[in-house]
Amino acid sequence: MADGPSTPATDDSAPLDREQEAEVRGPEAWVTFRNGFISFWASIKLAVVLICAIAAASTLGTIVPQGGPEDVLALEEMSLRTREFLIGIQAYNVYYSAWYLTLLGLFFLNLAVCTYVRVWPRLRFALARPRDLPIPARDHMPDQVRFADATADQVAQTLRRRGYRVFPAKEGFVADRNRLFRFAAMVVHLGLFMILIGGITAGLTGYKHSFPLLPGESMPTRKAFEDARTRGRLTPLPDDFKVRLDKFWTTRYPDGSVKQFYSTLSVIEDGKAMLTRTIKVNEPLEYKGTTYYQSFYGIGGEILTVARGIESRIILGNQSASTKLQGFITQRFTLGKQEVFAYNTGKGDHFEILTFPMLGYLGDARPGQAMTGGGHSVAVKRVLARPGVASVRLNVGGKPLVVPVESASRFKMQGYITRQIVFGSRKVFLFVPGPDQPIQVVDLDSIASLGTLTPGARKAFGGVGVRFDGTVQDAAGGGPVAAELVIDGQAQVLRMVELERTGFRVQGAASDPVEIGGRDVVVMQSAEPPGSPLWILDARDSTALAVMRPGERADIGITQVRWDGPVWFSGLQTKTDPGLPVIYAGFLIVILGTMMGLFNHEQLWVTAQDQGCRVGAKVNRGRFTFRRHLGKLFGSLGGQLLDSSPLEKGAAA
Amino acid sequence: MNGNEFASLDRQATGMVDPQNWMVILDGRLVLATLVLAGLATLAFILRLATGKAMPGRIGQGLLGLAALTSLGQLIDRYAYMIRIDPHYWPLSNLFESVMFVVFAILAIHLVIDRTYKAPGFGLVSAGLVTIIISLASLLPPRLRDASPLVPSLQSYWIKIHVTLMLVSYAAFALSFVAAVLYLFFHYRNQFLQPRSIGAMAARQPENHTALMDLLDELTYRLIMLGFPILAFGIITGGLWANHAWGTYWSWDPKETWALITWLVYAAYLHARMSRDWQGAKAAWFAVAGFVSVLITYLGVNYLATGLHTYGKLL
Repeated sequence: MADGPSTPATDDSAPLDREQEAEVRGPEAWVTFRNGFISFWASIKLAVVLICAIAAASTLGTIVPQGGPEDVLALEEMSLRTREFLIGIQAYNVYYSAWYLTLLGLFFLNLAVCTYVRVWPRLRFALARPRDLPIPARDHMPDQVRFADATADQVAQTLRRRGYRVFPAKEGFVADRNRLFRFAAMVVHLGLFMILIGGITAGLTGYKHSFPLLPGESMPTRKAFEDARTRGRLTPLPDDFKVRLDKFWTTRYPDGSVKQFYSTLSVIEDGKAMLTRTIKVNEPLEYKGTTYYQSFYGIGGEILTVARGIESRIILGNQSASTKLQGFITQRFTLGKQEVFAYNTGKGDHFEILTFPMLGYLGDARPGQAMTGGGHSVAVKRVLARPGVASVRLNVGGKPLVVPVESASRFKMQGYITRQIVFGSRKVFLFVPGPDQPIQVVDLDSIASLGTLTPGARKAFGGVGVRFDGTVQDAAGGGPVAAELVIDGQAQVLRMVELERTGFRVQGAASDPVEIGGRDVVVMQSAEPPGSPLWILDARDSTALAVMRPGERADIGITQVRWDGPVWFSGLQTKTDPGLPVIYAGFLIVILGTMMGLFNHEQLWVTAQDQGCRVGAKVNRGRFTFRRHLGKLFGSLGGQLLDSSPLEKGAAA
Repeated sequence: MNGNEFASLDRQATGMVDPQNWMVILDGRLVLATLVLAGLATLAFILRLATGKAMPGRIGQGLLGLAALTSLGQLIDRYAYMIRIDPHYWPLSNLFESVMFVVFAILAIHLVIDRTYKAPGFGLVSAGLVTIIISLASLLPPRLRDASPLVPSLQSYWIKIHVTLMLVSYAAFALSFVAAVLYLFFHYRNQFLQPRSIGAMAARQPENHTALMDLLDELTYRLIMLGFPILAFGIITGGLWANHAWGTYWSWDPKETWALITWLVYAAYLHARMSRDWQGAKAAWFAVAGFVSVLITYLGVNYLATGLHTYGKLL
């Protein structure tokens, strides 16, 4: 390829013209490599393939929730193999996964080479004067206009008047319009590069920090940004000042939903309040290169516990969280005008009566103790449960082993799973669909199924023989299927479903797991609606141990818990992003470039004749539009648009 | 079918909209009028193509012009009424309103671009598309027709710029989609007819079939060239807004990801067109894929996953 005649370009995607080939001459092997590299990476077909690949890969992240591997486990029913695959390719974090970034890298390499080989020739072309052509070539232009009377000078004058650049040429004129816009695609490419550079800058130096503030608290900005530095980021540090929350409030629509939330912030520098301003969503505060956004809000606060006469205080974390409540709920029923349902943890016959859909708490009902309030009453008559599995009986290497199981519902699966078991060299857990049904042995590390065991069957796992001897039944372990409640004096049988399958969540503030009354619990409270209860949930399985209203007390084991009500906090976010100006400039250039594409490059060659003249014309896109335009342009001069191509008929149809 | 079925200003639940107000009644009537005019225009263009006479084509063109006026009138009427209830109102606050805006945008783009084509085929594309869209939109459940109060992050002048741009680009892409589908129809019909005999081909096909396909190809291309920068502008204003509201211009939320995917598919279309062996039918398939992506972005994403645009169940 280096010393032979230059290979003719087979299509537009092999962009090297003669001029460029001359430029890239060099030592032979290097030239061969370089030409091969360039013609591969500059290919437009490759661009189409890569663009399609990125588009296809991007869809993945809109289907799989983006977060962590647990989000894949929480997906609707799908096989273990599929889950394993999705976790393997980091489907939960697609846009930052190595393979996706590699794809982007290849795309930008393609874009870079493609732009590199075209940008200068295109720029030269775009800035050049229109090129003269020999007369036979002019006559071969796609669109031809004949003038019987008008002279070439008259035509040239018309063109000048209409904004064309007209230059004298052999036996006539050459004219064009919108030549500069042939550079449009290159402009878009340059804009995309600026966005890339801005994005990389942001990745290296940008920093975002969310923090909740209770009224009166303040946040030292510099300290937070120093944290980013210690984690290896090149974040520029702001001056040493603090931002203090003076006041936080919300406004609401008549239906109770939040309309807007506001924080009054003061910037404190050297002990002095430099400025005080109220921010809201869409109206951030900017101070010395850092911006403060009203980002979220929520409730925090504290609960008091008393055990054996010793009082202690538990501060609730004010991190916003959302927990799927576990347990079972009944069908909805009405108390007066309010739609409600009853909640049961699946253990025992204690029910919480909650409003729908906001999970407001009305009270609790248990056998022998009805819920009363607001002129209504709900009493529990009995709970119908389905038998479930309590444990699995195995024989591992000749020794019997009984393994307790727990519900698999937090993996959105029906059935039970065991904790970790060791089979010889393998760590596994078992998946148990139901009483005396075949069980699956699942590798703990890869979450891949190793095989199925039917009752009585024996198989080898990790070098030991394992026999499955059946399940031990649990009379109520399958969970309640129905409850008979007495609602305002009338007995009703209500179907019950597992909460997990309905997607109910308690949203709001959650504490870290703490120990209360000998149990590990998580304390949660909802921000909405006002007056929402406090939930004390079992940290292990998210079932509710207590639901409390402000000012109420509850007992967990021997510990008494008191809660006086929520305290609101304002969630603020601060950030700095030195890449932003570059990104914004890139945005502007992309818009500019794509808009430049709206203009078509028109070229005309005017040839004088003994009588009248003729024009050969060409446009880079939109021939129908161009021909109509030519008709209008030359109509008054008596120009005859030649009906040479089949196009005209289509346009006239 | 009476006008009230189209009275989409039904906010009785919150007691904010008075269904007896003449402006509310007019709103429903104007939607109905746009539907009827577009439907009649569709018939006129079918007649034009079937008979080859010029008159029905001119009538169709006139009807489409009127439909554009009633559609604009409906937007203005609704805006004039709602702005008194909510000073920040913009007539794109729910799915029905946004669809009616797309209808107006389609008609406006048609009238501007058709000045150079004056092709009855294009008239049929636009009139048929508008008729189908309004018919489907009138089937929307009331929930998606009511204007609902805006959540805090939506209360910004950016909504006017961002959402309007996105919808105008969708309108251009909708038209390009129909043109591309017609192109593919003729392409595969010709391919199907070819193997028989040249005589059969000549006898069966209108003599200008390639010219018609060229026209459809150019229409697809021009409309995408129009939608492409508007979509870019729309996505970018969305980024600017997000940065203003949340401090992040891009967060891979499903809706913004799908808007980007749409932009990429159209970028692929524009590049495929430059490559000689991907012109024609292959490029037209990219145009079709692009519009499928538009539909997912516009309507489908809200049912895929949760994200920042979840309020967009209405948008």
